[in-house]
Amino acid sequence: MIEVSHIGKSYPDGVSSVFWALRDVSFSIDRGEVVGLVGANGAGKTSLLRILSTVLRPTTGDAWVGGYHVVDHSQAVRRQIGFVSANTAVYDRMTGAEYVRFFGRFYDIPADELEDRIEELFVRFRMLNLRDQLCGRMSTGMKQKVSIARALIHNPDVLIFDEATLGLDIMAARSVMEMVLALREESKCIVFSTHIMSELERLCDRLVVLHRGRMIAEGTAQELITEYQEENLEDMFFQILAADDEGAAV
Amino acid sequence: MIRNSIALHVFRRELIDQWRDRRTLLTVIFLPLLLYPILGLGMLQMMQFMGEKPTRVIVVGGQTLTENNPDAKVPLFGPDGWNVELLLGKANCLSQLEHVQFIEPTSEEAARELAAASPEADDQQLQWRAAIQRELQAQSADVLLWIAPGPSANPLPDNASDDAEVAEGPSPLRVQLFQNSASDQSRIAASRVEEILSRWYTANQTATKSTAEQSAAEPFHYTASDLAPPEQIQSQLWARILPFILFLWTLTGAFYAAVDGCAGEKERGTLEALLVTPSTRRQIVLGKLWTTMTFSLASGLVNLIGTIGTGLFVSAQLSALGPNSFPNFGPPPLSAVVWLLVGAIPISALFSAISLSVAAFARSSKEGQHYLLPILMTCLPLLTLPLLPGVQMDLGMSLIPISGLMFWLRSLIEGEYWNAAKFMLPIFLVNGWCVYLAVSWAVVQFQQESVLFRPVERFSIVAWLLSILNRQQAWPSVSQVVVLVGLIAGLKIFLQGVAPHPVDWSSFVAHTLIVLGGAVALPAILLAIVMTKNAAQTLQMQRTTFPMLVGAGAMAVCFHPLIVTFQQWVMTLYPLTVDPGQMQSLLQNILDGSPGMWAILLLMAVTPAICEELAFRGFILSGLKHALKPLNAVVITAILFGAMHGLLQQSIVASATGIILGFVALRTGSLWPCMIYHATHNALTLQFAFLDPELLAQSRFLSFVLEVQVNEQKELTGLSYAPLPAAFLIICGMWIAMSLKTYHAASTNGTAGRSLGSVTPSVSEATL
Repeated sequence: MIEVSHIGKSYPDGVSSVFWALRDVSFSIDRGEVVGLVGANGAGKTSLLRILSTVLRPTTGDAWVGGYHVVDHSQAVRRQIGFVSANTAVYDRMTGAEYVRFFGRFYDIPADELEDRIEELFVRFRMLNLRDQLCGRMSTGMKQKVSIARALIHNPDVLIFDEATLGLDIMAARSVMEMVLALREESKCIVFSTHIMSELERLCDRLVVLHRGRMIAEGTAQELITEYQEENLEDMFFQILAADDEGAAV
Repeated sequence: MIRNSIALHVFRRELIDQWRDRRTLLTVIFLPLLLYPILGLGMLQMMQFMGEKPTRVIVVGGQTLTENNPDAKVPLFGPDGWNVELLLGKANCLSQLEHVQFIEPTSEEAARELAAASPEADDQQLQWRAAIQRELQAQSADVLLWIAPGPSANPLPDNASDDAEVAEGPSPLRVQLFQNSASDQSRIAASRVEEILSRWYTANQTATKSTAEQSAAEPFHYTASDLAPPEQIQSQLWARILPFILFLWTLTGAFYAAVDGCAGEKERGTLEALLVTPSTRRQIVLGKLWTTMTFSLASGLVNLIGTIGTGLFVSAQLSALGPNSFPNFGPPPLSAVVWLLVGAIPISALFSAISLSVAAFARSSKEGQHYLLPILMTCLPLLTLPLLPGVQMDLGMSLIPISGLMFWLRSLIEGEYWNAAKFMLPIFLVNGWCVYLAVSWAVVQFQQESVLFRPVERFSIVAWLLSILNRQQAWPSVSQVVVLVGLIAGLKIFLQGVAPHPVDWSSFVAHTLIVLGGAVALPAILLAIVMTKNAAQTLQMQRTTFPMLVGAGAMAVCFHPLIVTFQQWVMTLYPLTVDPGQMQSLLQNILDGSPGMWAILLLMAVTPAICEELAFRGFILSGLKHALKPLNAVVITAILFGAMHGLLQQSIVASATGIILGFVALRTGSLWPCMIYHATHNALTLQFAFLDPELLAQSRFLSFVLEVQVNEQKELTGLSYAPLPAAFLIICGMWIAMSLKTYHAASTNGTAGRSLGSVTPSVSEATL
């Protein structure tokens, strides 16, 4: 469902040099699989997910989502995905339902069907109280839930969550996690970036570890823990990063 | 004390915050540095439209008031127009009065009809005035001066009857001036004619007194008549105020909506969700354009309602004072309101597109708001241009963005529907093209990845300067190109003021060298050395072949007819308001002091070619062709090249030449052919301007190639190419241009000399 091949991404840095946020990253994700993208701040997670969601273009390499190339067929890719990011804000002067309806209309969903879908999402994620509430008056967790409803309005096959629980309190984070778990059961292809290990253990079938723009490990949580002979994911993560830093220093 | 230190603490933090906001800092500091020189150049261009235009006067019945008539004490007319003695004295009026053209009535019948004594009966009076109006319109004349001998058997029309006192003895002449006060040009004409009539009156009185014939004689009885209907006079005031208010508020309304919709959305972080929908960037921009237009329209209309309401109130108050208190001021006509509603749509579309493109460029609302004043200051001269007295709508004016639209609206409000319809197509094409360009630029901004990022970079001038010096780039960046353009514009204005005024050959040499060398070539060379790795490469000083140079020179010769024809078309479109003959004679006086033709060509053909090519096809095109598509780079460089020339007409022609020069630069990859082309073109233009008519008459070749226009005195008034030789030369020029391309392609493959080189194989090896 998602194919990433030797992706590299650079940004201008200063007047004439460039900064490489991603270097030669390759992996693939199948339908019904939940893959966790893990890495410290600045590892390149957001850049990678923005490339998959077509808002950034890769400097090198290629990526395909649902069989479509992210640069050559970006519009087709955007029809296939639902994207939620901690950086994405909601329109403060719209109510929850208006906000979701506004985005639903981009996908040519018939009006009746769209209303039914909005109703279904608000009921399913227990957010009926947000339906007629202005987004500007919602808490951060509520806004994030509305954002997830917005990303699901067209029932996409691929879901991209970039630090979707960042800044949320425990209750709100759990609520978002439950929404993702429910989607997992619908055999959606989900990419989930976070640096909270408990979320990864609970949600993901497989992990991709990024550090300083490079992919330094890939596998299931258990495989990685076993490979690095650590007791839990967090220790394993520290060890991978420390080993990579040592390698870089040498 | 504690409070002050905390305030200081907050102040320091705010200052650091502002200081590190690079784009805002650049906007605040560098934009004015660029803006004012550009505005200065714009004002120079606008001066073209502010010159005095000739006044066209139809004189009926003044045959006896000439120098040849012994009865005329002080003649009103001389052999070539006004009596020149009347023009002497007040220097400030002299120039205005010199601008008078006399026109004969269209036919003898019209002359008889107009010369008839002003009729008594009201219906005849109306017919007579209608005939005058017809004649003025038929001849596009500004005023009609009607002169008839006394005694006044018939009462004079209009309000003249109150003043008309039939004196005993020889009755004074009756002089009546017909004008249309709704037309600026007619009003200016009337004031000029009144000035000369006033002088004639005084001169006649003095002459009469000196001969002591009659101490209290009235030389003539003068009446001014206005042909404009009262509603047209009233609408004229509103025709200026209302469009201006509409323009100003549609721009302001559009700007704030655009900044909130683009920069604001980036700032609030809601844009990413929109960008991952299947909509195209163009659809998003169009949606934002329509929103901006709605706010722009609403803002314009609300302010119009306010102005019209105030106008109605004021006119009601004034009319309460009496019907004749303010005869030229009345409520805005209903038709004006209707036309404003119609006109508001294209105006708001244009301003919304401009605002949107700028707002899409801004990364924050704060940065966006800094662009309002520069936009306003750039648009204001274009808005004011149609308000200038005497400036009239013509094809040239209709091709100016914003101004054309303003003229169109003004014509509709003034009831000049034919004028508005006549120029509607060019006006809408030009402004529509501007909308398209602005929207396209906004779409390009939205397609950039930077649309997602907010400004957080820290700016240090020292680090920036060091990075420029330490990390020189291979080619100039777009921002470095902008810096050079600003430097050229600023230094040109400064050095033109500082350099010695050209009054003779030596001061002319000094002026030219200081301005061209100091303002154009030097900044380009210095920036190339400081900011790029290889100055010679940046300035395109690559070696080239001799055939390439010959080809460029030949191209200049072959394309000269094309440029001359284009120049003549431009001059028809935008006639020079300064007298070209006067300019030429001034220049001729300066050039008479030159050591010879070689010196003139060196100074006026070769020096500009070297200096301007270094800056434009050298630094600027080098930078732009690596940042933009080649065609766009050539066109933008040519427009900048044109803008650096003082006169609008010169600018348009220079831009066209700049496109050919850019083509030569791209094809040959070297600046030398461009310099040869430029110098040859300048030399030909000089020869064309100062061509000796005798040489032209003697040379069979020149007589075949050129066509001359002569006046009644057999003086040379114009020169152009004959169609057949011109077409032949242009075809040759195109062939050479294509050959340059072939040659360049061949030379890059290491097989130089296949095309042009094959013509002259023996010299193809000679390189610079």
